Amino acid sequence: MIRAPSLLAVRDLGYDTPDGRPLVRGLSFAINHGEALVVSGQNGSGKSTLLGLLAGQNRAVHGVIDLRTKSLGFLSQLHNREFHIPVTLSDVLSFGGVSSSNARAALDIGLLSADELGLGWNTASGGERQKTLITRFLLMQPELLILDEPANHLDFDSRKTLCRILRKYIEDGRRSLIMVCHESALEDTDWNFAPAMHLGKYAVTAC
Amino acid sequence: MASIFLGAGLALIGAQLAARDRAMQTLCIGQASVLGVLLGIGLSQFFHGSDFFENAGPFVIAVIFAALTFMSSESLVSKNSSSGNTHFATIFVVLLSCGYLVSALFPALENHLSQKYFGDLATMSEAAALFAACIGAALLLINFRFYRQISADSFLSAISGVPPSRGRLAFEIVVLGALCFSVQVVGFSFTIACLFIPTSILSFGQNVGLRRHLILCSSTAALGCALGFLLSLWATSLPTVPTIVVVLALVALSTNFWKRFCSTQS
Repeated sequence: MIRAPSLLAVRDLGYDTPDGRPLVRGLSFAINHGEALVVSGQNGSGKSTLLGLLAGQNRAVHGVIDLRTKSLGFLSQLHNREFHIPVTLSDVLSFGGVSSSNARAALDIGLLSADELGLGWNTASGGERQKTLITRFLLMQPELLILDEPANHLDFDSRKTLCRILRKYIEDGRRSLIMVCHESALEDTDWNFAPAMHLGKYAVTAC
Repeated sequence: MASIFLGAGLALIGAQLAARDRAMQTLCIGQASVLGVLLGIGLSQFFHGSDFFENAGPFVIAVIFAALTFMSSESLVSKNSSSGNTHFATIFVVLLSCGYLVSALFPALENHLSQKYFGDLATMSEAAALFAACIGAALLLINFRFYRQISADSFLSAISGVPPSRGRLAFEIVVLGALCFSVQVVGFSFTIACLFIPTSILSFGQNVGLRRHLILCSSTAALGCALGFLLSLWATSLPTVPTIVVVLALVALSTNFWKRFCSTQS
C-alpha cells in the first residue's frame, strides 16, 4: 500500500545567519494531519528561525521543505508593538476575515471575553494582545498552524485554556500544529507529550 | 472639488502608510517624483516639439524615479531594518540636492521647482482639476471598499513583520501612481500634508476603532482642504497651498478635541 505523503516533510534542512554562522543543520522530520510538533531548545538555538523557514520567511541554505498545503497560519513572536491606527481587539480579529457580527465565534473559542473585544490594541496588555492574535488564527482555521511561543505573556489559567484549545484544534485529524514552546511554559497544564494522545508526537530540540 | 476629493483620498492612503511606518519613505518617493517631473519638464524644453516629453514625459519619468526609489529603499531597509529612517533621510537629502542640480541644468525650471513644492491649485486647468477629482474619488472608493484587507496588511507588517499578502503589490502601485500624479498636479507640500496631517493628529486620544478613524481622516482632510481653499480665495494675499496645510492642521486638531469631548460626554 502506498502511504499518503506527509502534510509537511523536512529533509536535511540547513540555515546560516546573515553573518555566516550555521544555525540549523541536518534537520529532518515530518508531520501529518492531527499531529503536533513541539520544538524546544536553548535561547539562540534556532527555534524561531526554523519556524520562519517553514513559513517561508527565511530561506534555507540547503535541504528540502515539502509543504503540501497553502492553508498556513504563522504567529511570530515579534508582535508586542503598538499600531498607528487606533484599532480595537475586535478590529484585529476582523483582519482574519471575521465580521463583527461573527464575534460570537471569537468568544466561543474561550480565550477572550466580551469586555476585552472593545479594548484598544495600543492600550491592551501583552497577554490580551497575544490571546487576540491566537484567536484570530484559530478562527481562520489554517490546515497547518505555526505558533512561536504562544504562551508568552499569558497567565496560568490562560495557558491551561490555550493548551486545551490547541489539543481540540488538531484532534479531529484535519489540521496540524507546530509550536515553539519552552517546557516550563506548559508545566502543570494538561498538555501531554505522550504519543498515545496523538499530541506531541515529536519533541524536536533544535540545538 | 479637486482638492477635496484628492485630499480625502490621500488621507486614507496616508493612514495606511503611517501604520506601516513608511512616512519617511514616502517623503523620499515624493521627492523622487518631484525630481522626475522636473527632469521631464527640463527634457521637454530640451527636446522641443517631442509629443512624449511635452505630454506624458514628466509623469512617466516621475513614476520611474518613484518606483526606483521605492525599490532601492526597500532593499536597503530589508538588509538593515533597524536603521530605516536613517537610510530614508540619506536618500531624501540626496534627491533634494539632485532636484536643485536639475533646476540649475535647466534654468527655466526655477519657477517649476517652487510650483512642484507648493502647487498651483488656484490656477489649475479645468481638465486637470476634473482629473484630480476623479483620482481622489477612485482612491476613496478603493480604500473604503478594501479597507479591511489593506489595514490587515498594514497591521501584520507593523506588528509581526510578516510580509504582507498578495494585495500588497496592488496597494504599492496605487500609492506610487497617486503620489506621482498628486505631486505633479497639486505639489509636494499639499500631497504630504493630506497624507499625514489627519492620521497623525487623529491617532491621539480616544480609541475610536479602525472604521471611524478612516472616516474621520478622510472627512477632516476634505473639510480642511475646502476651508483652506475658501480662505485663500477670500484673502487673496494668502498663498493657496500653505493656507490649506495650516487650516488642515487646525481642523484636525479641532476634530481631535471634539472627539475627546464626545468621549467624556458618553
